Amino acid sequence: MLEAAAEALGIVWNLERFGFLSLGCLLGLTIGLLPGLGGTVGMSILLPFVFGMDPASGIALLIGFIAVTHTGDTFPSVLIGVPGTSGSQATILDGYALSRQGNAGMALGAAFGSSMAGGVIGALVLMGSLAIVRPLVLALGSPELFMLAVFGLAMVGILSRGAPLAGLAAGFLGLVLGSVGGATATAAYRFTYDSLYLTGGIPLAVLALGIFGIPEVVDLLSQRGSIAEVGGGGKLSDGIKAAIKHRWLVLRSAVIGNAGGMLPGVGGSVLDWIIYGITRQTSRDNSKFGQGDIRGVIGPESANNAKDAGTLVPTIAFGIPGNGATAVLLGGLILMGMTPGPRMVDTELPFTLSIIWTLVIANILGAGLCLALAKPVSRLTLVPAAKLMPFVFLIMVAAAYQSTRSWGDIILLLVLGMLGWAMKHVGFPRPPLLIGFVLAEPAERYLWISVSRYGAEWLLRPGVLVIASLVAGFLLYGVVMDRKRTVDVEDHVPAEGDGK
Amino acid sequence: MSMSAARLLFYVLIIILFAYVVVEARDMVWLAGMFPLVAGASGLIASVAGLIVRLPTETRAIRAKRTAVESSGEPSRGDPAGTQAAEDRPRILDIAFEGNLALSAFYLGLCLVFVVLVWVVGFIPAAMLSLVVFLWKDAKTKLIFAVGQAAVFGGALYAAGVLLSLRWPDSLVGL
Repeated sequence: MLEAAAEALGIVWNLERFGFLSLGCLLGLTIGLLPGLGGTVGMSILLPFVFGMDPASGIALLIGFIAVTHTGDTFPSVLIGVPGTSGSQATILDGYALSRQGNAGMALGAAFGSSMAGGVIGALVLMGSLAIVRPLVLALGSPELFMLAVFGLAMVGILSRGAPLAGLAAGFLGLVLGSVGGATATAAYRFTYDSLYLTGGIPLAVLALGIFGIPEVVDLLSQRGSIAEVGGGGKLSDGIKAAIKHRWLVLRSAVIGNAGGMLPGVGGSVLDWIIYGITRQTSRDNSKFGQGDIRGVIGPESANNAKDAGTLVPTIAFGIPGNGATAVLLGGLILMGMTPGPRMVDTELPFTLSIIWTLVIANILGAGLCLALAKPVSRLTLVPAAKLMPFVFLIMVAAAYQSTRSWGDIILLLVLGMLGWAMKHVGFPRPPLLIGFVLAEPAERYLWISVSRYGAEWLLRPGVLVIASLVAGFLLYGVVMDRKRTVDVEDHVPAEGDGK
Repeated sequence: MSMSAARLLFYVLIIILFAYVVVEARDMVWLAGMFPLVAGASGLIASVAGLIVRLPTETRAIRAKRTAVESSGEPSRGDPAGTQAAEDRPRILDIAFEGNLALSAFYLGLCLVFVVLVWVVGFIPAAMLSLVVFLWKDAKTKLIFAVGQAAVFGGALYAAGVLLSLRWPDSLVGL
């Protein structure tokens, strides 16, 4: 393991890879600070450009991006009270309150300091956990891997905000969309309608940009007006000192965030609020929480960066992405010729460890960049959406077209954009669709191997039964909780039921 | 259309789609159809169950909206308990949804116009042209700045195309 770690460090220390890592960090920072454009949209824009790249350079670009999105998203949360991504919602409560009190610099400093520490701690915990995960992954067969894919999909669907069955349906829709094109097990085409374009299947970048990117651009334009109203203030160094003072809070939040990130479906927004709740409940004097308590910034910010490292465990070791951004990352790995799954913790271990080193460097670099660029970047959030979004849209179209360089990419982008917009507004969660789409190919392969090797007996394997009961239990829990929540809402607000 | 009605309609459309997938998958060769059949059937069950669970809440919301529209247009003022505000909430959400629907349809329409423009003149000229018009008319940027930004963006696209070997869609004019 130590030898592999040293070899991995050698892979990372390369000028070209460091250049791609820095580029990824800069892009991640930019996307993170634009409210509405989460990591999934940014990753989807990058995806077509990593095709054919050397895996180590491509992964440096993608990990650099993914690692700092949750550092950059602090800017809009603190400066304008709008979450840059779903994982920075809790930061608003105290971060924005501090900003309104003229202490935005302190809040940003604390957030960046704890984000960096959280990210590094998360990466180190990830490295340690690989030693435990490795034998477990290597012991699993195709039936268990298929059931794990179903489990991941069910978790993501069920834990979708307020709509477990809709989330589940969206996940299955993703599986159906993923089955378009050539069949895995035989020479036959499905749902292609004699279109040459569809024989290759739907490109992942086009799907992700359509489902996530287009609806956000359209909505930001529809809302009109400026994104921000106020600028920054206060000292960054005071915030860093506060993060050092509350180092145990940073460590505890990072470890919980990392562990939570390992569970598929436990998204940033859920973890963010869990950590905020724990921080508040375990603080001696919690009377200032919500009114500008720096601990309310430090806890969630440390956790959301550590969570990114945690989400890499199921993504790399089992090939099951935990959220939209890691689903795209998984697609990126496949595009570069890697096969996420057991092989990543066996023969490809040095490469996997190089991802973790990249994550460590990206977190340090990202926090450094945020601290250095805090003042000019905060001015960018004052630019009206109408002046930024046309550029973002054009970049999306250009990126989508690079997928297969066919007109079908652009047409499909718009069609999926409309589907994504409809899903967003009627309360159908979109991440399960993307995760289902990415899981379609491996899930079909595992199902086919299971059926052809074991017949119907694969359903009776102990591992399969354990995972199946977990899926059933979670499904039941999700539906019961949803019913309870609906009844509670109806008791307080007559006939609301918007589910958003 | 109210948000609740839109949600029910979406559920129905998804159910039809899954039913279609199941029917199509049954006609395929077994090895090709097995996976879409499993995914489609599971999706069908999940979406039908979702519709059954949501149906009472959504129909109540639709009925409440209809009653509110029929009774009066103006919400009552001076309601300290906030009961009226709570009852008006679905209507406020619906008005916001309908307003958003119209504006979003407008911007989605603009996206379609852009695609047609790309088909006629090519990607980079269409991008520059639509940027000038959008920034000038919608974002209220001064024409000279709009032209400047479009020119810089067009140049950046061209440079990126050369450096990264990017390709652009074919057009009628061939630009």
